[in-house]
Amino acid sequence: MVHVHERLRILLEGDVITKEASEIAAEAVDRLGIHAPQPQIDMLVTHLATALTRMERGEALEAPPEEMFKEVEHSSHIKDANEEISWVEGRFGQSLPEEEQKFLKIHYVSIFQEMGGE
Amino acid sequence: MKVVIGGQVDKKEVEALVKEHGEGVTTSVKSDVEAAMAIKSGQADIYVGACATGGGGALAMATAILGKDQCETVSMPGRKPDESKIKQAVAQGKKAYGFTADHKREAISLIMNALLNN
Repeated sequence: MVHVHERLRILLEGDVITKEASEIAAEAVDRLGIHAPQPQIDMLVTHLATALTRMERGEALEAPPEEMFKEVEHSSHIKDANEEISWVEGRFGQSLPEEEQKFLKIHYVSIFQEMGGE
Repeated sequence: MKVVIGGQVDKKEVEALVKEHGEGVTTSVKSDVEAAMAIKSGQADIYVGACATGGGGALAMATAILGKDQCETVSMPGRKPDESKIKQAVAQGKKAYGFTADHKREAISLIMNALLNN
């Protein structure tokens, strides 16, 4: 299995993500602790790093389908997800577009569900 | 044709859809990193992979390992697979194809038909 830091190194060396995005994504994963589920962490770290890179490079992304997001918005873990996204925004130094926030909420809620049950 | 299934979600379902395209197609399921490495080393011919939300997960590692010119984003949230673009990518010799999980049936059908009729 490829460790998170190895994953980020490959993405960085392939110029898929920027150095700042890599650093923030690594820190964001560290904040979740050692009990966070690996498959979901891999998805989060890849998505977060590419999302921050899109912002740095001025690229836009369309929002996820509404039905996908609706379920997440009503999750008991949405507050925790929002707190983590606020941390990312603070660390990155700017707000994330609503479209990117929605994707990240999906990933974070999935992780918190695995860690804490629903 | 050896097809390796990478991406991040629905790997077994994607494999089953690929297998529907005849006995001349062999499949293996790997992590996104290992799948991309299988293409690079010549162990497999074509990479296909899905992600849950779009926005990087399906193809990010393949892009880093194989290069952007070998990869084709077949679908994104709100953007369904486009047959003419897939045919063009296949004609260009691209090796890695990524899509969102909700488009997997249509995406695999178009990719495999384009590959087998190329």
